This record gives sequence, structure tokens and C-alpha cells, in this order.
Amino acid sequence: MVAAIPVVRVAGARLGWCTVSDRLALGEHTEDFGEFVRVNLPGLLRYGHALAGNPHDAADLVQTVLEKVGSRWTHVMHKTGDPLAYVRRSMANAHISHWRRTRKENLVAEIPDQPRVEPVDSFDNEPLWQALRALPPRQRAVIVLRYYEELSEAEIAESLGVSRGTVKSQASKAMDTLRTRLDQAAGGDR
Amino acid sequence: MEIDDELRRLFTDERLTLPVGEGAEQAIVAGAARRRKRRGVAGAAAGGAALVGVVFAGIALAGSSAPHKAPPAAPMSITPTSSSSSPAPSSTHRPAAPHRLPKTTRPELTKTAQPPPRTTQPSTPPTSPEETTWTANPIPTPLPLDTLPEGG
Repeated sequence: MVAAIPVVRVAGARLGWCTVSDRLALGEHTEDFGEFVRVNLPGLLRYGHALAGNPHDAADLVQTVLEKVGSRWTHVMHKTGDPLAYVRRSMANAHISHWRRTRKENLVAEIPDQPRVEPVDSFDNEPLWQALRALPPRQRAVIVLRYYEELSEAEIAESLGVSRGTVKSQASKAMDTLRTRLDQAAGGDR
Repeated sequence: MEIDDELRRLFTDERLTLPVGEGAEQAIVAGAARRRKRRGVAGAAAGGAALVGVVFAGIALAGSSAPHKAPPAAPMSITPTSSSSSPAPSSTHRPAAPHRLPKTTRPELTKTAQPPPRTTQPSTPPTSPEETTWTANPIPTPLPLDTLPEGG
């Protein structure tokens, strides 16, 4: 899938966070889907970046989920009190269920003349980021929801539709893997 | 440093922030509208197909519930036990008769002051001594051994 969100560097722009009070305010005042997207897109891109592991997959993930949610926006607004939380949960689930299967395939109509130049990720020299990217999608989602969203085990289980035991085991495996890889990276640096 | 703190530090890093391109919001809103429209068209098509299916199923059910002729029963294997001058039994024998109980006149069931006069022909024609009687083939009983003629 090709990212359709044009990524243009906005100089000096502080994009991102959306607090709980902001979410409540959005739930009360943001009726229009376009306004919801305009306000929350930076934070969702940041969250998608943590979830997917690279900017392009993050843009695709955000766009796919927002289009799905926007196509049934009235239903989402009536059924969920917090559409932003719903979008974040949808992103985590979409990343786990769909993303892993399709992201390695990039079907194009014509083979490009010049090979694609992969942009340099600013986290490329970060061992923890590399170890995080190498985790299976569900383990990474659990870690992101735990340390990015600051959700509890029960909330993560509810968000992902799994049991608390699954969340606990996935988090434990992920932390063990991260420790092992960080130790390996530290040993290699010596 | 604990790995928990490392993760929290990583997720609050400014480098995680991605810039939003111009026109991104419009692209998403347009994509959502396109999906909604596509789903509406698909839903209408599915509804139409379901309606056509229901109509066809109703027609098929109505057709199958209509009365139909029972296939003719297989004729019994019967042989006449005596010759007669009466016409062939096939002209009087009704194939469907074995399926139904024969209608008999039971006087005890019609206890009326004046029984209605019988105006219709009886279901079985009056028999005459010369008329053919139809019976099933009897199983031949074996002759006793002592009655067998001795072979010469």
C-alpha cells in the first residue's frame, strides 16, 4: 500500500498530544469528521509511528483507519463516547490483524525506473527502537498501549479484545525480548 | 536505567512526531466519503439480490407445494384361475384401487329412517358364476414322496 498522506515538514510546528480533557471536549464539540481529523491527525500520526515503527506505515495505518471510521462516523459518534479512543483501538487492532500481512507486499502497476530510496529514520541509531520494531505486532501493540497510552492491563485487554492473561504474557515476552536485544546491542558495542 | 523508563523516554521523544502534509485531512475525508458511497452501493445491490432471491424462493416453494399426480402403481402379478368369456380384466381393473381401501356399504353406519336409494352403480359389478375370479398365485404344495410315481 502506498501512503497517500503527503508528508511535508512543517517548520517549527509542535504537533501531537491530545489530553483527556481535549478528548472530552472533542466528543462534545466536534461533530464534523473533518474537524476531528484536522485536530487529531498529528497525534494519531505520532501514535501510528510508535505502533507501526516507521513514518510511511504510520501514515498508511492512520489513513486507512480514519477512512473506515469516517465512513461510519455517525454510528461511531453515537456508539462510542470517545471517538479518539475508538480510533486508537482500531489502529492497534488494524496493525495487528492486517498490517503485518500486507505491508511486505507493495503492488505497483509499473516497475519504477529508479529504485526506491528509503528515507532515513531518525530512530535508526536507537537500539531500543530497533528492538521494538522487531517485535511481533501484538507484542508491540501491548507495549505501545502500556507505555505510550499508559493503559492498564485490563484496558489493554479490552482494547485488543484479548484476555488479561494474554496481555500479561505478551508483555512479559516482549520485555524479555527487548532486554535480550538491548543486552546484545550493548555487548556488541563493547 | 530500567527498560520501563527507557520505553517511556522513547515514546515521549520529539522525533516520534510526524509532520502533517497539506491536504492530508481533505484526502482522508474524501476517502471516507468514497468508502461510505461504495458501501451504500454495495448494500443496495445486496438488498436487491436478496429481494430477488426471496421472490424466486417463494415462487419455487409455491410450485413445489401444488398438488401433483401420483405415479401409477405397479400392476399386481395376478393370474386367472379359470377361463371365462368375460372381457379382459384390464378393462375393469383400476390400477389405483390397491392404494385405497375398498368402499363397502356398511348398513350399521347409515342408520337413517329411510336409507337413501342407491342410485349409483356399485363399485364392483355383479358377479356371475362364469365370471373370472382373480386370486393370487397359490404356492404349490409339494406332493408326498410316497405318491410319486416310481420311475421305470
